[in-house]
Amino acid sequence: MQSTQKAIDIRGLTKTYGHNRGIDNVSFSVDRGEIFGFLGPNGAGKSTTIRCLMGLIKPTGGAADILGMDFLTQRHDIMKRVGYMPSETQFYPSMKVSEVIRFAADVRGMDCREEAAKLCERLKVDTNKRVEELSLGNRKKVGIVCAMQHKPELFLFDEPTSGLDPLIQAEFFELVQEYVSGGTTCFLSSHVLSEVKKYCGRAAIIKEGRLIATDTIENLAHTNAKSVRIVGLRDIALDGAENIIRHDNAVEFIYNGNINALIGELWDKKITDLTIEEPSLDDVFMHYYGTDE
Amino acid sequence: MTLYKHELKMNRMSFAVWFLGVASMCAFCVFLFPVMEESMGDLSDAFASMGGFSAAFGMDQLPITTLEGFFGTEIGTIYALGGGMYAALLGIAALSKEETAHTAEFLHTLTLSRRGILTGKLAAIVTLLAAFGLLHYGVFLSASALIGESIDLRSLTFFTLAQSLCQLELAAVCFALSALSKRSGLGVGLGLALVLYVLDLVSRITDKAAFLQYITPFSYANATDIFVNRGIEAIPACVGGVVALTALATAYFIYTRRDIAA
Repeated sequence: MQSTQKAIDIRGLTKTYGHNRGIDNVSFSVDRGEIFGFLGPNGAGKSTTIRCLMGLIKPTGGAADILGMDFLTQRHDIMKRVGYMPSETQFYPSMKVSEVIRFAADVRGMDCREEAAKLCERLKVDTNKRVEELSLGNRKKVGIVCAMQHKPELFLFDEPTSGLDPLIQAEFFELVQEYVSGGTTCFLSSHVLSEVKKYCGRAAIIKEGRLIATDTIENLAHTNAKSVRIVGLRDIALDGAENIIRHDNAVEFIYNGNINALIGELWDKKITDLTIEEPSLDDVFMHYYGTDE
Repeated sequence: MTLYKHELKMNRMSFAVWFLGVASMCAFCVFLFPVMEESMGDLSDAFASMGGFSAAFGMDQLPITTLEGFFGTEIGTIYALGGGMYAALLGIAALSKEETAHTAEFLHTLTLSRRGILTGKLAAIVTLLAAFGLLHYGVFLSASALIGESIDLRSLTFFTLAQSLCQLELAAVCFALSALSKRSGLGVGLGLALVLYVLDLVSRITDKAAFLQYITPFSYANATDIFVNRGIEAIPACVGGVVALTALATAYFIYTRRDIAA
Protein backbone atom coordinates (compact mmCIF):
# COMPACT_ATOMS: atom_id res chain seq x y z
CA MET A 1 0.00 0.00 0.00
CA GLN A 2 1.35 3.41 -0.93
CA SER A 3 2.25 5.62 1.99
CA THR A 4 0.73 8.66 0.25
CA GLN A 5 -2.75 7.27 0.47
CA LYS A 6 -5.18 8.47 3.05
CA ALA A 7 -6.15 6.03 5.77
CA ILE A 8 -9.77 7.13 5.40
CA ASP A 9 -11.22 9.23 2.60
CA ILE A 10 -14.95 9.90 2.88
CA ARG A 11 -16.76 11.71 0.06
CA GLY A 12 -20.35 12.85 0.46
CA LEU A 13 -21.39 9.97 2.68
CA THR A 14 -25.12 10.07 3.27
CA LYS A 15 -27.44 7.79 5.20
CA THR A 16 -31.13 8.32 5.69
CA TYR A 17 -33.65 6.14 7.50
CA GLY A 18 -36.82 6.74 5.54
CA HIS A 19 -37.63 10.36 6.27
CA ASN A 20 -35.34 10.40 9.30
CA ARG A 21 -31.93 11.98 9.26
CA GLY A 22 -28.83 9.87 9.62
CA ILE A 23 -25.86 11.67 8.12
CA ASP A 24 -25.89 14.12 5.24
CA ASN A 25 -23.09 14.56 2.72
CA VAL A 26 -20.25 13.94 5.17
CA SER A 27 -16.79 14.39 3.64
CA PHE A 28 -13.39 14.34 5.32
CA SER A 29 -10.16 12.41 5.23
CA VAL A 30 -7.80 10.95 7.79
CA ASP A 31 -4.08 10.85 7.06
CA ARG A 32 -2.03 7.76 7.68
CA GLY A 33 -0.31 7.72 11.03
CA GLU A 34 -2.44 10.36 12.73
CA ILE A 35 -4.86 10.24 15.62
CA PHE A 36 -8.05 11.81 14.34
CA GLY A 37 -10.92 12.81 16.57
CA PHE A 38 -14.55 12.74 15.53
CA LEU A 39 -16.48 15.01 17.83
CA GLY A 40 -20.17 15.34 18.34
CA PRO A 41 -22.87 15.04 20.98
CA ASN A 42 -24.97 11.93 21.31
CA GLY A 43 -27.13 11.43 18.23
CA ALA A 44 -25.04 13.72 16.01
CA GLY A 45 -24.19 10.95 13.55
CA LYS A 46 -20.79 9.72 14.76
CA SER A 47 -21.80 6.08 15.11
CA THR A 48 -23.82 6.17 11.88
CA THR A 49 -20.73 7.37 10.01
CA ILE A 50 -18.55 4.68 11.56
CA ARG A 51 -21.13 1.93 11.07
CA CYS A 52 -21.37 2.91 7.39
CA LEU A 53 -17.60 2.66 7.08
CA MET A 54 -17.62 -0.76 8.74
CA GLY A 55 -20.28 -2.07 6.33
CA LEU A 56 -22.84 -2.63 9.07
CA ILE A 57 -25.29 -0.25 7.44
CA LYS A 58 -25.57 0.58 3.77
CA PRO A 59 -25.10 4.24 2.90
CA THR A 60 -27.79 5.99 0.89
CA GLY A 61 -25.13 7.84 -1.06
CA GLY A 62 -21.50 8.84 -1.24
CA ALA A 63 -18.26 6.93 -1.34
CA ALA A 64 -15.33 6.13 0.91
CA ASP A 65 -11.93 4.53 0.68
CA ILE A 66 -10.34 2.88 3.68
CA LEU A 67 -6.61 2.20 3.44
CA GLY A 68 -6.93 2.88 -0.28
CA MET A 69 -9.70 0.33 -0.80
CA ASP A 70 -13.34 0.87 -1.65
CA PHE A 71 -15.36 0.42 1.53
CA LEU A 72 -18.23 -1.37 -0.20
CA THR A 73 -16.54 -3.72 -2.65
CA GLN A 74 -13.32 -4.51 -0.76
CA ARG A 75 -14.76 -4.85 2.71
CA HIS A 76 -13.19 -8.24 3.41
CA ASP A 77 -9.66 -6.97 2.71
CA ILE A 78 -10.36 -3.84 4.73
CA MET A 79 -11.53 -5.79 7.76
CA LYS A 80 -8.31 -7.79 7.83
CA ARG A 81 -6.39 -4.56 8.38
CA VAL A 82 -8.77 -2.70 10.66
CA GLY A 83 -9.40 -2.99 14.38
CA TYR A 84 -12.86 -1.78 15.39
CA MET A 85 -14.49 -1.27 18.73
CA PRO A 86 -18.15 -0.23 18.90
CA SER A 87 -19.45 2.16 21.54
CA GLU A 88 -21.47 -0.55 23.24
CA THR A 89 -19.30 -3.63 23.19
CA GLN A 90 -21.15 -6.91 23.62
CA PHE A 91 -19.88 -10.47 23.43
CA TYR A 92 -21.43 -13.89 23.88
CA PRO A 93 -22.39 -14.00 27.58
CA SER A 94 -21.60 -17.68 28.18
CA MET A 95 -18.08 -17.44 26.78
CA LYS A 96 -14.96 -16.86 28.83
CA VAL A 97 -12.97 -13.73 28.03
CA SER A 98 -10.07 -15.89 26.82
CA GLU A 99 -12.45 -17.69 24.43
CA VAL A 100 -13.78 -14.41 23.02
CA ILE A 101 -10.27 -13.10 22.39
CA ARG A 102 -9.22 -16.42 20.83
CA PHE A 103 -12.38 -16.52 18.69
CA ALA A 104 -11.68 -13.03 17.30
CA ALA A 105 -8.12 -14.09 16.41
CA ASP A 106 -9.21 -17.45 14.95
CA VAL A 107 -11.78 -15.81 12.67
CA ARG A 108 -8.94 -13.66 11.37
CA GLY A 109 -6.85 -16.80 10.94
CA MET A 110 -4.10 -15.32 13.08
CA ASP A 111 -2.14 -16.38 16.12
CA CYS A 112 -2.37 -13.29 18.30
CA ARG A 113 -1.65 -14.92 21.66
CA GLU A 114 1.50 -12.95 22.38
CA GLU A 115 -0.01 -9.56 21.61
CA ALA A 116 -3.26 -10.46 23.36
CA ALA A 117 -1.38 -11.49 26.51
CA LYS A 118 0.51 -8.18 26.49
CA LEU A 119 -2.68 -6.18 26.06
CA CYS A 120 -4.53 -8.14 28.74
CA GLU A 121 -1.71 -7.53 31.18
CA ARG A 122 -1.56 -3.80 30.51
CA LEU A 123 -5.32 -3.32 30.58
CA LYS A 124 -5.73 -5.67 33.55
CA VAL A 125 -8.15 -8.00 31.80
CA ASP A 126 -9.15 -11.12 33.73
CA THR A 127 -9.31 -13.72 30.96
CA ASN A 128 -10.85 -16.42 33.15
CA LYS A 129 -14.08 -14.55 33.78
CA ARG A 130 -17.20 -15.17 31.76
CA VAL A 131 -18.54 -12.28 29.70
CA GLU A 132 -21.81 -12.28 31.67
CA GLU A 133 -19.80 -11.44 34.80
CA LEU A 134 -18.16 -8.36 33.27
CA SER A 135 -19.05 -4.73 33.89
CA LEU A 136 -19.34 -2.31 30.95
CA GLY A 137 -15.78 -1.12 31.55
CA ASN A 138 -14.38 -4.62 31.60
CA ARG A 139 -16.29 -5.54 28.46
CA LYS A 140 -14.80 -2.44 26.87
CA LYS A 141 -11.32 -3.62 27.81
CA VAL A 142 -11.98 -6.97 26.10
CA GLY A 143 -13.17 -4.99 23.07
CA ILE A 144 -9.89 -3.08 23.04
CA VAL A 145 -7.91 -6.31 23.13
CA CYS A 146 -9.98 -7.77 20.27
CA ALA A 147 -9.47 -4.60 18.23
CA MET A 148 -5.73 -4.35 18.83
CA GLN A 149 -4.42 -7.91 19.12
CA HIS A 150 -3.95 -8.40 15.36
CA LYS A 151 -1.91 -5.18 15.10
CA PRO A 152 -4.10 -3.54 12.47
CA GLU A 153 -3.10 -0.63 10.24
CA LEU A 154 -6.15 1.36 11.27
CA PHE A 155 -8.10 1.63 14.51
CA LEU A 156 -11.72 2.69 14.37
CA PHE A 157 -12.95 3.35 17.87
CA ASP A 158 -16.46 4.54 18.63
CA GLU A 159 -16.38 6.32 22.00
CA PRO A 160 -13.65 4.02 23.28
CA THR A 161 -13.24 5.45 26.74
CA SER A 162 -16.83 5.57 27.94
CA GLY A 163 -17.10 3.27 30.93
CA LEU A 164 -13.35 3.02 31.46
CA ASP A 165 -11.82 4.25 34.70
CA PRO A 166 -9.26 7.09 34.39
CA LEU A 167 -6.24 4.80 34.88
CA ILE A 168 -7.35 2.46 32.11
CA GLN A 169 -8.24 5.44 29.91
CA ALA A 170 -4.67 6.66 30.28
CA GLU A 171 -3.31 3.18 29.58
CA PHE A 172 -5.57 2.93 26.53
CA PHE A 173 -4.25 6.17 25.05
CA GLU A 174 -0.70 5.14 25.85
CA LEU A 175 -1.30 1.97 23.85
CA VAL A 176 -2.85 3.95 21.00
CA GLN A 177 0.14 6.26 20.89
CA GLU A 178 2.54 3.31 20.86
CA TYR A 179 0.73 1.70 17.94
CA VAL A 180 0.51 5.03 16.12
CA SER A 181 4.23 5.60 16.56
CA GLY A 182 4.62 2.25 14.81
CA GLY A 183 2.59 3.47 11.83
CA THR A 184 -0.98 2.68 12.80
CA THR A 185 -3.70 5.28 12.17
CA CYS A 186 -6.34 5.92 14.80
CA PHE A 187 -9.79 7.32 14.17
CA LEU A 188 -11.83 7.77 17.31
CA SER A 189 -15.19 9.27 17.95
CA SER A 190 -15.88 11.01 21.21
CA HIS A 191 -18.01 13.57 22.93
CA VAL A 192 -15.25 14.12 25.49
CA LEU A 193 -13.44 17.19 24.27
CA SER A 194 -10.53 16.93 26.67
CA GLU A 195 -9.33 13.59 25.33
CA VAL A 196 -9.56 14.79 21.73
CA LYS A 197 -7.61 17.92 22.65
CA LYS A 198 -4.99 15.90 24.45
CA TYR A 199 -4.39 13.08 22.02
CA CYS A 200 -5.62 14.04 18.54
CA GLY A 201 -3.80 16.08 15.92
CA ARG A 202 -6.92 16.82 13.89
CA ALA A 203 -10.62 16.53 14.43
CA ALA A 204 -13.93 16.78 12.64
CA ILE A 205 -17.05 18.08 14.31
CA ILE A 206 -20.43 16.71 13.37
CA LYS A 207 -23.76 18.18 14.32
CA GLU A 208 -27.21 16.88 13.42
CA GLY A 209 -25.76 14.62 10.76
CA ARG A 210 -23.72 17.31 9.03
CA LEU A 211 -20.03 17.95 9.25
CA ILE A 212 -19.50 21.48 10.45
CA ALA A 213 -15.74 21.68 10.80
CA THR A 214 -12.61 19.66 10.05
CA ASP A 215 -9.21 20.99 10.98
CA THR A 216 -6.26 20.69 13.27
CA ILE A 217 -7.04 21.09 16.94
CA GLU A 218 -5.06 24.36 16.94
CA ASN A 219 -6.97 25.81 14.00
CA LEU A 220 -10.32 24.72 15.35
CA ALA A 221 -9.59 26.81 18.42
CA HIS A 222 -8.75 29.85 16.27
CA THR A 223 -12.01 30.97 14.73
CA ASN A 224 -13.26 34.53 14.26
CA ALA A 225 -15.33 34.05 17.36
CA LYS A 226 -13.96 35.56 20.58
CA SER A 227 -14.40 34.60 24.16
CA VAL A 228 -15.64 37.68 26.04
CA ARG A 229 -15.91 38.27 29.80
CA ILE A 230 -17.38 41.49 31.14
CA VAL A 231 -17.30 42.30 34.84
CA GLY A 232 -19.91 44.78 36.01
CA LEU A 233 -22.74 43.54 33.80
CA ARG A 234 -25.24 40.80 34.60
CA ASP A 235 -26.56 40.29 31.06
CA ILE A 236 -26.10 41.40 27.52
CA ALA A 237 -28.43 41.56 24.50
CA LEU A 238 -26.31 41.72 21.38
CA ASP A 239 -26.44 40.07 17.97
CA GLY A 240 -23.61 37.53 17.71
CA ALA A 241 -23.44 36.80 21.43
CA GLU A 242 -23.85 33.07 22.04
CA ASN A 243 -23.56 30.64 24.90
CA ILE A 244 -24.15 33.43 27.40
CA ILE A 245 -23.24 32.54 30.98
CA ARG A 246 -24.58 34.98 33.56
CA HIS A 247 -22.86 35.47 36.93
CA ASP A 248 -23.80 37.77 39.85
CA ASN A 249 -21.58 40.58 38.63
CA ALA A 250 -20.27 39.32 35.31
CA VAL A 251 -21.29 37.85 32.02
CA GLU A 252 -19.35 35.52 29.69
CA PHE A 253 -20.16 34.67 26.10
CA ILE A 254 -18.78 33.71 22.72
CA TYR A 255 -18.98 36.69 20.40
CA ASN A 256 -19.19 36.10 16.67
CA GLY A 257 -20.20 39.60 15.56
CA ASN A 258 -18.56 42.91 14.68
CA ILE A 259 -16.17 44.02 17.42
CA ASN A 260 -17.23 47.69 16.93
CA ALA A 261 -20.81 46.73 17.72
CA LEU A 262 -19.62 45.16 20.97
CA ILE A 263 -17.64 48.27 21.93
CA GLY A 264 -20.60 50.48 20.98
CA GLU A 265 -22.87 48.37 23.17
CA LEU A 266 -20.51 48.78 26.15
CA TRP A 267 -19.83 52.53 25.58
CA ASP A 268 -22.33 53.88 28.07
CA LYS A 269 -22.26 50.92 30.47
CA LYS A 270 -20.48 50.98 33.80
CA ILE A 271 -18.19 48.00 33.54
CA THR A 272 -15.20 47.28 35.77
CA ASP A 273 -13.30 44.83 33.56
CA LEU A 274 -13.36 43.52 30.00
CA THR A 275 -11.49 40.47 28.66
CA ILE A 276 -11.55 39.54 24.98
CA GLU A 277 -9.49 36.50 24.01
CA GLU A 278 -9.23 33.56 21.62
CA PRO A 279 -11.78 30.97 22.63
CA SER A 280 -10.62 27.62 24.03
CA LEU A 281 -11.50 24.48 22.11
CA ASP A 282 -14.24 23.89 24.67
CA ASP A 283 -15.69 27.28 23.77
CA VAL A 284 -15.44 26.50 20.08
CA PHE A 285 -17.15 23.17 20.67
CA MET A 286 -19.97 24.89 22.52
CA HIS A 287 -20.08 27.60 19.87
CA TYR A 288 -20.65 25.02 17.13
CA TYR A 289 -23.24 23.14 19.10
CA GLY A 290 -24.99 26.20 20.41
CA THR A 291 -25.60 27.76 17.00
CA ASP A 292 -28.81 26.90 15.25
CA GLU A 293 -28.57 26.12 11.53
CA MET B 1 -14.97 -23.11 9.83
CA THR B 2 -14.30 -21.06 12.97
CA LEU B 3 -17.83 -19.68 12.98
CA TYR B 4 -19.25 -23.15 12.26
CA LYS B 5 -17.45 -24.57 15.30
CA HIS B 6 -18.47 -21.55 17.35
CA GLU B 7 -22.13 -22.05 16.43
CA LEU B 8 -22.00 -25.74 17.33
CA LYS B 9 -20.47 -24.81 20.66
CA MET B 10 -23.05 -22.12 21.35
CA ASN B 11 -25.89 -24.55 20.57
CA ARG B 12 -24.59 -27.62 22.38
CA MET B 13 -26.59 -27.03 25.55
CA SER B 14 -29.92 -26.45 23.84
CA PHE B 15 -29.23 -29.43 21.59
CA ALA B 16 -28.63 -31.64 24.63
CA VAL B 17 -31.81 -30.39 26.33
CA TRP B 18 -34.01 -30.89 23.27
CA PHE B 19 -32.47 -34.24 22.38
CA LEU B 20 -32.77 -35.59 25.91
CA GLY B 21 -36.30 -34.23 26.24
CA VAL B 22 -37.67 -35.60 22.97
CA ALA B 23 -35.66 -38.84 23.00
CA SER B 24 -36.64 -39.69 26.57
CA MET B 25 -40.34 -39.13 25.79
CA CYS B 26 -40.05 -41.27 22.64
CA ALA B 27 -38.15 -44.02 24.47
CA PHE B 28 -40.66 -43.90 27.34
CA CYS B 29 -43.48 -44.46 24.86
CA VAL B 30 -41.66 -47.38 23.26
CA PHE B 31 -41.20 -48.93 26.71
CA LEU B 32 -44.91 -48.42 27.37
CA PHE B 33 -45.86 -50.35 24.23
CA PRO B 34 -45.79 -53.90 25.72
CA VAL B 35 -48.12 -52.77 28.52
CA MET B 36 -50.38 -50.83 26.15
CA GLU B 37 -50.41 -53.70 23.67
CA GLU B 38 -52.03 -55.99 26.25
CA SER B 39 -54.52 -53.46 27.58
CA MET B 40 -55.52 -52.02 24.19
CA GLY B 41 -56.05 -55.34 22.42
CA ASP B 42 -59.80 -55.00 22.36
CA LEU B 43 -59.80 -51.25 21.71
CA SER B 44 -57.91 -51.36 18.43
CA ASP B 45 -61.03 -51.45 16.31
CA ALA B 46 -62.59 -48.66 18.35
CA PHE B 47 -59.54 -46.44 17.86
CA ALA B 48 -59.67 -47.13 14.13
CA SER B 49 -63.29 -46.08 13.77
CA MET B 50 -63.39 -42.69 15.42
CA GLY B 51 -63.87 -40.83 12.16
CA GLY B 52 -61.87 -37.66 11.74
CA PHE B 53 -59.91 -38.19 14.93
CA SER B 54 -58.68 -41.60 13.71
CA ALA B 55 -57.85 -40.13 10.30
CA ALA B 56 -55.98 -37.19 11.81
CA PHE B 57 -53.66 -39.44 13.78
CA GLY B 58 -53.53 -42.27 11.22
CA MET B 59 -55.21 -44.80 13.49
CA ASP B 60 -57.48 -45.82 10.62
CA GLN B 61 -54.49 -47.01 8.61
CA LEU B 62 -52.41 -48.99 11.10
CA PRO B 63 -53.68 -50.84 14.17
CA ILE B 64 -52.43 -49.17 17.32
CA THR B 65 -51.71 -52.58 18.81
CA THR B 66 -48.72 -53.09 16.48
CA LEU B 67 -45.44 -51.34 17.18
CA GLU B 68 -45.63 -49.63 13.76
CA GLY B 69 -49.17 -48.45 14.49
CA PHE B 70 -48.24 -47.32 17.98
CA PHE B 71 -45.13 -45.64 16.60
CA GLY B 72 -47.16 -43.85 13.94
CA THR B 73 -49.77 -42.44 16.32
CA GLU B 74 -47.78 -41.81 19.49
CA ILE B 75 -44.02 -41.75 19.04
CA GLY B 76 -44.15 -40.25 15.56
CA THR B 77 -46.29 -37.40 16.86
CA ILE B 78 -43.93 -36.66 19.75
CA TYR B 79 -40.89 -36.75 17.47
CA ALA B 80 -42.57 -34.65 14.77
CA LEU B 81 -43.65 -31.96 17.22
CA GLY B 82 -40.45 -31.98 19.29
CA GLY B 83 -38.17 -32.05 16.26
CA GLY B 84 -40.26 -29.44 14.43
CA MET B 85 -40.19 -27.02 17.34
CA TYR B 86 -36.45 -27.51 17.85
CA ALA B 87 -35.77 -26.93 14.14
CA ALA B 88 -37.94 -23.81 14.11
CA LEU B 89 -36.15 -22.41 17.15
CA LEU B 90 -32.74 -23.13 15.64
CA GLY B 91 -33.68 -21.34 12.44
CA ILE B 92 -35.49 -18.36 13.92
CA ALA B 93 -32.72 -17.58 16.42
CA ALA B 94 -29.77 -18.11 14.08
CA LEU B 95 -29.38 -14.58 12.79
CA SER B 96 -31.69 -12.39 14.85
CA LYS B 97 -30.11 -13.49 18.14
CA GLU B 98 -26.94 -11.63 17.18
CA GLU B 99 -28.89 -8.40 16.94
CA THR B 100 -31.10 -8.91 19.99
CA ALA B 101 -28.03 -9.81 22.08
CA HIS B 102 -26.06 -6.94 20.47
CA THR B 103 -23.25 -9.28 19.40
CA ALA B 104 -23.82 -8.61 15.68
CA GLU B 105 -21.45 -5.65 15.66
CA PHE B 106 -18.64 -7.81 17.06
CA LEU B 107 -19.27 -10.69 14.66
CA HIS B 108 -19.74 -8.55 11.56
CA THR B 109 -16.60 -6.49 12.07
CA LEU B 110 -14.23 -9.43 12.10
CA THR B 111 -13.15 -10.75 8.71
CA LEU B 112 -16.38 -12.61 7.98
CA SER B 113 -18.49 -11.68 5.00
CA ARG B 114 -22.26 -11.75 5.42
CA ARG B 115 -22.39 -14.76 3.10
CA GLY B 116 -19.76 -16.43 5.26
CA ILE B 117 -21.83 -15.77 8.38
CA LEU B 118 -24.97 -17.17 6.75
CA THR B 119 -23.13 -20.24 5.49
CA GLY B 120 -21.42 -20.94 8.80
CA LYS B 121 -24.66 -20.66 10.72
CA LEU B 122 -26.60 -22.70 8.17
CA ALA B 123 -23.97 -25.46 8.17
CA ALA B 124 -24.21 -25.64 11.96
CA ILE B 125 -28.02 -25.94 11.79
CA VAL B 126 -27.81 -28.73 9.21
CA THR B 127 -25.24 -30.55 11.34
CA LEU B 128 -27.33 -30.23 14.50
CA LEU B 129 -30.48 -31.46 12.77
CA ALA B 130 -28.61 -34.34 11.15
CA ALA B 131 -27.22 -35.31 14.56
CA PHE B 132 -30.71 -34.92 16.07
CA GLY B 133 -32.13 -37.32 13.47
CA LEU B 134 -29.30 -39.85 13.68
CA LEU B 135 -29.36 -40.00 17.46
CA HIS B 136 -33.13 -40.44 17.50
CA TYR B 137 -32.84 -43.17 14.87
CA GLY B 138 -30.48 -44.91 17.27
CA VAL B 139 -32.88 -44.35 20.18
CA PHE B 140 -35.84 -45.81 18.22
CA LEU B 141 -33.84 -48.90 17.26
CA SER B 142 -32.34 -49.41 20.73
CA ALA B 143 -35.64 -48.95 22.55
CA SER B 144 -37.41 -51.38 20.18
CA ALA B 145 -34.67 -53.93 20.70
CA LEU B 146 -34.87 -53.52 24.47
CA ILE B 147 -38.59 -54.44 24.52
CA GLY B 148 -37.90 -57.39 22.21
CA GLU B 149 -39.77 -55.96 19.22
CA SER B 150 -38.48 -55.46 15.73
CA ILE B 151 -39.53 -52.43 13.75
CA ASP B 152 -39.58 -52.22 9.96
CA LEU B 153 -36.13 -50.82 9.27
CA ARG B 154 -36.97 -49.43 5.82
CA SER B 155 -39.98 -47.53 7.12
CA LEU B 156 -38.10 -46.25 10.16
CA THR B 157 -35.25 -45.04 7.94
CA PHE B 158 -37.64 -43.25 5.59
CA PHE B 159 -39.51 -41.79 8.54
CA THR B 160 -36.34 -40.39 10.12
CA LEU B 161 -35.14 -39.02 6.77
CA ALA B 162 -38.53 -37.46 6.04
CA GLN B 163 -38.59 -35.88 9.50
CA SER B 164 -35.11 -34.50 8.92
CA LEU B 165 -36.26 -32.97 5.63
CA CYS B 166 -39.31 -31.56 7.40
CA GLN B 167 -37.09 -30.09 10.12
CA LEU B 168 -34.74 -28.63 7.53
CA GLU B 169 -37.68 -27.03 5.72
CA LEU B 170 -38.98 -25.51 8.95
CA ALA B 171 -35.50 -24.34 9.91
CA ALA B 172 -34.97 -22.83 6.44
CA VAL B 173 -38.25 -20.89 6.55
CA CYS B 174 -37.46 -19.65 10.06
CA PHE B 175 -33.89 -18.85 8.96
CA ALA B 176 -35.35 -16.58 6.28
CA LEU B 177 -37.62 -14.92 8.86
CA SER B 178 -34.59 -14.51 11.10
CA ALA B 179 -32.71 -12.81 8.25
CA LEU B 180 -35.61 -10.38 7.89
CA SER B 181 -36.09 -9.54 11.52
CA LYS B 182 -34.01 -7.71 14.08
CA ARG B 183 -36.08 -9.21 16.90
CA SER B 184 -35.81 -12.65 18.43
CA GLY B 185 -39.03 -14.10 16.94
CA LEU B 186 -38.94 -17.23 19.11
CA GLY B 187 -42.73 -17.12 19.48
CA VAL B 188 -43.11 -16.83 15.71
CA GLY B 189 -40.88 -19.87 15.18
CA LEU B 190 -42.71 -22.04 17.70
CA GLY B 191 -46.08 -20.81 16.48
CA LEU B 192 -45.20 -21.59 12.87
CA ALA B 193 -44.20 -25.18 13.75
CA LEU B 194 -47.43 -25.74 15.69
CA VAL B 195 -49.67 -24.16 13.04
CA LEU B 196 -48.10 -26.28 10.29
CA TYR B 197 -48.60 -29.37 12.42
CA VAL B 198 -52.28 -28.52 12.92
CA LEU B 199 -52.65 -27.90 9.17
CA ASP B 200 -51.44 -31.46 8.59
CA LEU B 201 -54.10 -32.77 10.99
CA VAL B 202 -56.76 -30.71 9.22
CA SER B 203 -55.65 -31.92 5.78
CA ARG B 204 -56.27 -35.50 6.95
CA ILE B 205 -59.72 -34.87 8.40
CA THR B 206 -61.45 -33.45 5.34
CA ASP B 207 -60.82 -33.83 1.64
CA LYS B 208 -61.64 -30.16 1.17
CA ALA B 209 -58.41 -29.31 3.00
CA ALA B 210 -56.29 -31.91 1.22
CA PHE B 211 -54.39 -29.15 -0.60
CA LEU B 212 -52.81 -28.27 2.75
CA GLN B 213 -50.56 -31.31 2.42
CA TYR B 214 -48.56 -29.29 -0.12
CA ILE B 215 -48.16 -26.45 2.36
CA THR B 216 -47.18 -28.22 5.55
CA PRO B 217 -43.98 -30.27 5.73
CA PHE B 218 -45.56 -32.54 8.34
CA SER B 219 -47.65 -34.17 5.60
CA TYR B 220 -44.81 -35.94 3.77
CA ALA B 221 -43.12 -36.77 7.09
CA ASN B 222 -46.20 -38.37 8.66
CA ALA B 223 -45.21 -41.57 10.44
CA THR B 224 -48.36 -43.56 9.68
CA ASP B 225 -48.26 -42.76 5.95
CA ILE B 226 -44.61 -43.78 5.78
CA PHE B 227 -45.11 -47.01 7.75
CA VAL B 228 -48.13 -47.94 5.59
CA ASN B 229 -46.51 -47.07 2.25
CA ARG B 230 -42.93 -47.97 3.28
CA GLY B 231 -41.79 -44.81 1.54
CA ILE B 232 -42.22 -41.06 1.23
CA GLU B 233 -44.73 -39.27 -1.00
CA ALA B 234 -42.50 -37.71 -3.59
CA ILE B 235 -44.46 -34.62 -4.68
CA PRO B 236 -45.06 -33.03 -1.24
CA ALA B 237 -41.46 -33.86 -0.31
CA CYS B 238 -40.17 -32.18 -3.48
CA VAL B 239 -42.38 -29.17 -2.79
CA GLY B 240 -40.83 -29.09 0.70
CA GLY B 241 -37.34 -29.16 -0.79
CA VAL B 242 -38.18 -26.31 -3.15
CA VAL B 243 -39.68 -24.28 -0.29
CA ALA B 244 -36.54 -24.83 1.79
CA LEU B 245 -34.23 -23.78 -1.05
CA THR B 246 -36.37 -20.73 -1.84
CA ALA B 247 -36.35 -19.72 1.83
CA LEU B 248 -32.57 -20.04 1.98
CA ALA B 249 -32.12 -18.03 -1.22
CA THR B 250 -34.40 -15.36 0.29
CA ALA B 251 -32.36 -15.34 3.49
CA TYR B 252 -29.13 -14.82 1.52
CA PHE B 253 -30.71 -12.12 -0.63
CA ILE B 254 -32.07 -10.16 2.31
CA TYR B 255 -29.30 -10.57 4.83
CA THR B 256 -26.50 -9.56 2.47
CA ARG B 257 -28.29 -6.28 1.78
CA ARG B 258 -29.94 -5.07 4.93
CA ASP B 259 -28.64 -2.93 7.76
CA ILE B 260 -27.40 -4.67 10.88
CA ALA B 261 -28.82 -3.31 14.12
CA ALA B 262 -26.38 -2.00 16.74
